[in-house]
Amino acid sequence: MRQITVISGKGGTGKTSLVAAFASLASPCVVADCDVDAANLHLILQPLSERMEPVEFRSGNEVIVDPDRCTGCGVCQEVCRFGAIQLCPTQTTGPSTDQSTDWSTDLPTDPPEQTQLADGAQTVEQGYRVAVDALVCEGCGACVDACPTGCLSLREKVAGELRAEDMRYGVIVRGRLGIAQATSGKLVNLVRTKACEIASQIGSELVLIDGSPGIGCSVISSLTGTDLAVIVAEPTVSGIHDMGRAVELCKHFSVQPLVVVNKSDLNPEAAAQLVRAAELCGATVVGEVNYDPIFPKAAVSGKTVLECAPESSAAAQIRAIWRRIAQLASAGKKGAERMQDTPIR
Amino acid sequence: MLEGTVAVASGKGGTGKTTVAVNLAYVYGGPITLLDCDVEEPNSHLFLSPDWSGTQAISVLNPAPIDEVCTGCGECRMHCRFNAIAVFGGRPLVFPELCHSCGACLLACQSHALVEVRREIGVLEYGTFDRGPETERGELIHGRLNVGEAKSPPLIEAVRRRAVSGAGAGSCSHLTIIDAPPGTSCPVIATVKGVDYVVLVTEPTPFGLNDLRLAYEMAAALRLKVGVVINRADIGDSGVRDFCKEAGVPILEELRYDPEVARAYSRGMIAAKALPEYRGIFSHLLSRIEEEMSEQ
Repeated sequence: MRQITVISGKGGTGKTSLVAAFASLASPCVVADCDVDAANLHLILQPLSERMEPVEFRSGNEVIVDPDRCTGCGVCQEVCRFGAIQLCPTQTTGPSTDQSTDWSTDLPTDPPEQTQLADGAQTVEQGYRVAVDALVCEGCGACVDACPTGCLSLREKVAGELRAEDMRYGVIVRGRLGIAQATSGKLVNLVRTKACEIASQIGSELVLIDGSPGIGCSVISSLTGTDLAVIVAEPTVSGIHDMGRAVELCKHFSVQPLVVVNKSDLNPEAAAQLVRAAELCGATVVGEVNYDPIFPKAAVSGKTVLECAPESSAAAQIRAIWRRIAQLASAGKKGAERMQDTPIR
Repeated sequence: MLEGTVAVASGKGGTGKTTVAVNLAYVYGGPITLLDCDVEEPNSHLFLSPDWSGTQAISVLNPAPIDEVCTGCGECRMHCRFNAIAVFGGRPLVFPELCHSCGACLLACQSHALVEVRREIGVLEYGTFDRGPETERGELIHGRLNVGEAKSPPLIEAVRRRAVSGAGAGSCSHLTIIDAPPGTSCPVIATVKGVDYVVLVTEPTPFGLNDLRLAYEMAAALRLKVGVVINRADIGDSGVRDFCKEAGVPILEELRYDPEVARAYSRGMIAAKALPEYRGIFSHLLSRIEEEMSEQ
């Protein structure tokens, strides 16, 4: 069973459209949508039914505050390195005072004042309570560890979800990260693990991984341990620059990089430059695909390019590219393994 | 004249963020700073061709044990919520790629046996770029993450801090434009938090719509004002327009697909410089942003 990761460095080069087309050629296969920030593959591959209940992705911590035990000492704010803690003023029972405090900058040095009222009742005049900015909090627990009253605690949070669904070319496994959540790399690992598990179950030879743009943690998690990387590049100054960094990333993680030049006829001169640049940095160029307005049209209608325009030159180019990729993926195996397996179509 | 900090973001990659950011910076009449916070794949400099004035290595802090003092108690490992510390042979082993530099391990250590060491994750580069004979040069600050580094937010934060302390800050009329990375998770949060306005660039396709919704939710979670630019507006469907109407998000501009612009872009040219009619289009976008920012 082989894993092939498709990345781009630069966004918008046509990665997802090509992955969908490859999936149709490799059918039945398992596709892992690891662009967990903004997963799109299901819009083309159109899941038919769930293979399993969606699974909650639990990762990272949030801080829970017990306001009754907080004395407003501010130690939590001192130790937080992410600016996630603010002390907010609170007014509790008793007559209102005309004290005003700039709560954003001042820490109280004394405990909240106690006032003896005429009728003997005591009341807390002005206090401070901890507010944690969940969007900035990294869940490190330093505040919890430092708090002298134990009013802070950590709770693991639901950071996203994982789904596995049948689709017309096999199975799609996809992860969705919650808004403003971290640990995308961890979710990508989960998506890949589930995809490989399902591939074994259904006897599929291939897991096709759709990565995210960039070169950061979710891309790294899509690449480590994969058998081949396909970088979908575009013939523009930005495209050449970003392809270079994507190739460097593949080599950093010892993954063989292949390059596909997409929309190659938009700028033939730049396409030639891109091919030269790719070869110079040690990548193998496996083919070029012409720009075809059928790409956006196919995406709009939820189909692959091969379904929409099977006779087009772009379709022929994609088929030839996939044959080359499949050959290289099979060739990568050691001799003994190759003898036992059926080749990827 | 428009002032403040405007971020140009999107959910989906390749919608035209850098094109919009670079062109807005080029046509703006006053002092401008462009921050390229797409530190994984910075592109703005390819169009602006800046004269670089300087570079700064950016590092994060990772813990390291002092062997002579460490008792091997393992408190550091127990307090690390990121599994970045293991204990082997009675000594802590740190995995810097997992470390969030939070300092919880140092707080937990009873023997003062941990120090923090700097580890470089990338560089920050700054310079100025030409905006034509009539206008003063703009300032460009970008970050470039080292290939193999997983986490971009610390470098993004360094780029943003530099803008606040840099040359342009404090001028009476000053605009900062931020070119954001694609996506909706922590790199984008670090890029856009606290800005005055977010321009979301999208395309009228199901991909564009899907990712626009996510980006809009993210901006809403951060309580940021949002406007939308629809790029390649004539190729696709009406989903994005319908969404903006439903959600009450203003559409600031619709840019038609123009093969001349695509060609200029592929050559690393600024549209407003190469194709004069785009100067007017991007100036109009600036005034739309100003209009929306001044509305309650």
